[in-house]
Amino acid sequence: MQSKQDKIELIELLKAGNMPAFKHLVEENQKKVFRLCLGYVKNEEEAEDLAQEVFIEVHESISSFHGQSSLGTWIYRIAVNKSLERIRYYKRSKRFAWLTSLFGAEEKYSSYAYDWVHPGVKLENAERSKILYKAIDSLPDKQHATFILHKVEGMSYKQIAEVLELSLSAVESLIFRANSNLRNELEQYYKEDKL
Amino acid sequence: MNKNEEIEKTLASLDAMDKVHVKPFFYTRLEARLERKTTLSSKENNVGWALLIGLVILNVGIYFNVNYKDNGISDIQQLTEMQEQYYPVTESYYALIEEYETE
Repeated sequence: MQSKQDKIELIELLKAGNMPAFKHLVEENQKKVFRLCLGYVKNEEEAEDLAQEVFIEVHESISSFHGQSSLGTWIYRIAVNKSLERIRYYKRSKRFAWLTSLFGAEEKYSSYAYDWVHPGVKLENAERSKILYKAIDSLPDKQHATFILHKVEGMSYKQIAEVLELSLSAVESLIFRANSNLRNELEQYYKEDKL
Repeated sequence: MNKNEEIEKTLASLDAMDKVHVKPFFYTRLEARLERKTTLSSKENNVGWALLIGLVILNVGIYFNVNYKDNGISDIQQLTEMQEQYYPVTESYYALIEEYETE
């Protein structure tokens, strides 16, 4: 556990471009950034690519970090924004796939896995998690982000509020709406396909 | 199993997930990418400077070409010279009348 003084020193070193300090920061945060990105992009290689982009952004914009939030929260915020950007890119390229295929353009990123099982999900839950992830994909951006942070990352409402720069009540409301939208989606799914 | 039970079980399917690990040597790959990016951006900077200098040279060239093309002779001077050459004062209307009358 780092003391407050250590954290301040680490930030100063990072701002001075100290690479060992950057390495320390990466090693301390890589798992959670990777996990978060994986929850969004659903492909381990792309999650790593995205996680690298997050740390590059951290490296390039550390000078603009003024300590309004903790360093970890700031990194999480960058990761969420980058992930949402990537998801929008996937959706855009899916929408215009017919057009790009006319010009023979190749996709920059491999296609988004719409039928994916998170590697951390227990085997007996694999099929159900696939269905749930499909439903999560249909959520609006903010509901999507709060649900992933809460359910997959296990973050508290307070932490989510800090990461997404929202009030606590806004986070509560977003999670409530996400749950109710997911319920509706699943209800529809089981009505049509299963039961 | 009824529908509500199915929904509850599906919603709970992401609970108690196993930890997912990052591939080894993540930092090494990140460092390599950072270096690549730095080299690329310095090349881009050089190209940017070259373009900027080229543009300045082009502008200066155009400026001198337009302003000093005729060795400092202005447009008005040029017009006056042309007028004198094609319509000399002696060939004005009155001069021609005078010339005609004296003949």
